[in-house]
Amino acid sequence: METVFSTPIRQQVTKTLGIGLEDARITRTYLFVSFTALLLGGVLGLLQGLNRAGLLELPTWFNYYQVLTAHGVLLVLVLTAFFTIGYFYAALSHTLDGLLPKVRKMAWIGFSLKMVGFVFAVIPILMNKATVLYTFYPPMAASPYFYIGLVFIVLGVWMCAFGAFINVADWRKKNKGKHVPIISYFATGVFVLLFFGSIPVAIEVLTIIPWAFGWVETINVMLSRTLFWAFGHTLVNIWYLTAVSAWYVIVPKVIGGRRFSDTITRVVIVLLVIMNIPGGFHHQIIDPGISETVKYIHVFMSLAIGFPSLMTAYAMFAVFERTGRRKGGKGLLGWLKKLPWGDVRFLAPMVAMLAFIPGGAGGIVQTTFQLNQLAHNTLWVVGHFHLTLGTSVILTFFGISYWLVPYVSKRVLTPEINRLGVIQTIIWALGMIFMSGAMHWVGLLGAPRRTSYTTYFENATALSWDPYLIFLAVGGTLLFIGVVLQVYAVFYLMFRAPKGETEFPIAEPEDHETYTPYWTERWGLWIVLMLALVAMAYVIPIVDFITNAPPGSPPFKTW
Amino acid sequence: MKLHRSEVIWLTASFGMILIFMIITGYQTFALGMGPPSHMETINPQKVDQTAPFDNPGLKQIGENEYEVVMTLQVFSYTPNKIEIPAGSTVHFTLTSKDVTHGFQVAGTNINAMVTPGHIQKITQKFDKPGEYLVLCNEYCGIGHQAMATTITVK
Amino acid sequence: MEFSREGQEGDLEVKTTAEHETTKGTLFSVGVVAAVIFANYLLFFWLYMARV
Repeated sequence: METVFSTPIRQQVTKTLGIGLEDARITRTYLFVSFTALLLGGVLGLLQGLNRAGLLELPTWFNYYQVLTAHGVLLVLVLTAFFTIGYFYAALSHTLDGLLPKVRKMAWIGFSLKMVGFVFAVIPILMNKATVLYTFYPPMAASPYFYIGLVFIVLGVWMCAFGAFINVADWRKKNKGKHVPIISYFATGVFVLLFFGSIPVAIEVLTIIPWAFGWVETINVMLSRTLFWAFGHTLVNIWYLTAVSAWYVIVPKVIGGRRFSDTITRVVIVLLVIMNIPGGFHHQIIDPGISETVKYIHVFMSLAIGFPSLMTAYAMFAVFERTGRRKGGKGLLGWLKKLPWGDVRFLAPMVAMLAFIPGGAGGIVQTTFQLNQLAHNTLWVVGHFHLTLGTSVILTFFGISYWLVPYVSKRVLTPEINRLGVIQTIIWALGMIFMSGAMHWVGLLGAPRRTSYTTYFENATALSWDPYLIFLAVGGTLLFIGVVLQVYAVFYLMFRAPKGETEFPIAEPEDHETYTPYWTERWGLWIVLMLALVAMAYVIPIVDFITNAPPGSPPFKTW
Repeated sequence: MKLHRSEVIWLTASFGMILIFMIITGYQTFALGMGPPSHMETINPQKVDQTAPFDNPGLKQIGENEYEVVMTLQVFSYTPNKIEIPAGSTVHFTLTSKDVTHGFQVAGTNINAMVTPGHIQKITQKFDKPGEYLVLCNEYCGIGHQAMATTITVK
Repeated sequence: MEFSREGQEGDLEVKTTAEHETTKGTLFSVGVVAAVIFANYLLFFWLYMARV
């Protein structure tokens, strides 16, 4: 508990007045949208959980698949994208001597583009004209305005990515020979991935729009699917990389330690950036039209992304052990007891990291080729990404919010809200154990994902899943309580908490650390390597999809 | 960059782990023919009913204890519906979609395949244990997705 | 706002004694991670083979 309210915060006041007001407003607005999306998405999640357990029938004017589409868009796109941009823009502002006026303007243009796009996308969803889920696989065709909305969202994200590049480039010009501060280095990696990762989906959507309007008769289904996953897979890994930035940089500071080797941290970032996009194919392991050999190469690429995460596992435990031992922890695991478990800024990301152990292990098995047949499109997958995305990423974001929101609101975290945060974290963990646990289990028994409650005509196998699905509803209800507490905490910290200055916690490297080689700064090289790997992975299958394409598919509206 | 000895041990172990998984699945796939469904043939998705073999979908015995099922998937059903086979049969499924992307999953077996329009998908399974197997669509295909199911009865 | 490298309050004095630099707890922890991965893999592999 002590670490939360100890003196560094007061020290900061004398040093500087913290983030500039105009920079703070950007992050505050992004976070406001982000947590509003969490609240709405949480309500929809609860509705789904209750329906899936057979406890609630949804009305025809707002059916399960509409709820699911909105839940996905709100949580996997809006909550995450707005949080990531808000968080990293605050980090850029903090470590690169403030945002450039031009960049601030770009952040606001990006914000408007995303909001416009969002309105365009949401209206057709509410009108039941875009009930295609957030993966919108053709030949299901939503209202063209849904896709136009997506284009605006992508443009908005690009605007923010370019803003970040400009700010980093400007700082590098003014600070020749210096390393970009580690958190901004993470930001650079994230925005590089956001830009390149969303190019495939931009191409996909641009081919869909004329088809959805009826100007083009047919569409290449497999090409669209592949372009989608080149993006979709990268996207979730971007959110993951954002969470990882807090694990490496923020958490060590919160526990009163130093961060892990600067060079290795940068190597992990570079590896995650270079290897990410080709991983998309593991979503298509049981698709037709892709040869086993091509798929096998992609399995290797998917498993290879596990490697930097395994490096991270070591790094995190090493930081915890070193810090715990310096505080007097003895024996094999005594250092664990010295960690500040009562500090939500540590507890939430810690639980997030622990969730990534089964989450990552699940990722490894389901990407391992034919083993994917056990899990593909079953509820197991939903359980998996509620551990990785819904816990590892989101709980880290929650942990960040307890200092980031006060930091940009010129307020302070109170002991009461800290306690609320601890309770929230515990509720979230319990909710996920119930919900994700039940999903994993019934998934292996065969229950499909993205399917409203059904007994398949009183089929005995389907009926045998019902008892487990109750746990899904229990977990979902706990998670909804967690959402309410979290949103309350964020809005309290934003508008009601006592005024004051909060620190942006960035851990220092070890004193004896050797100098980080300057090659880590060569982003041009990383981008070339990334594109080379993307080309190796995608050129053959995409050329194959185009040259050996079957006659295309006309649009279908099957809902 | 100086790596701690224990980190070198861990990274070697991590790499070894990934390598072992690759070798096992690679061996199963390329030596034992157990790879995931990846059939390469294509078809005109708007002319499925006129194209052989889908002009005549159904169950056909092709050998002792060996059957072929030619099946079309469409919103929200499978044709043929309700298949019956004797225990111990090996069944080769040949599948295509007449409209949107569907899934072909049989609960309690390794059968799990995506069926996309324009492509022919194939998957084979031996049914040893008698009973009623639930076939279901595991790719969201529209408002009746939760009703897209049939059964395979093994006697 | 730049952080100076000289210690903030709350930062610990960095002493590099043998006891502080041991990584046996880390190795044990990542060992647990490896065990979870292998257990998961074996479960899937067993289930897959049982359903062949």
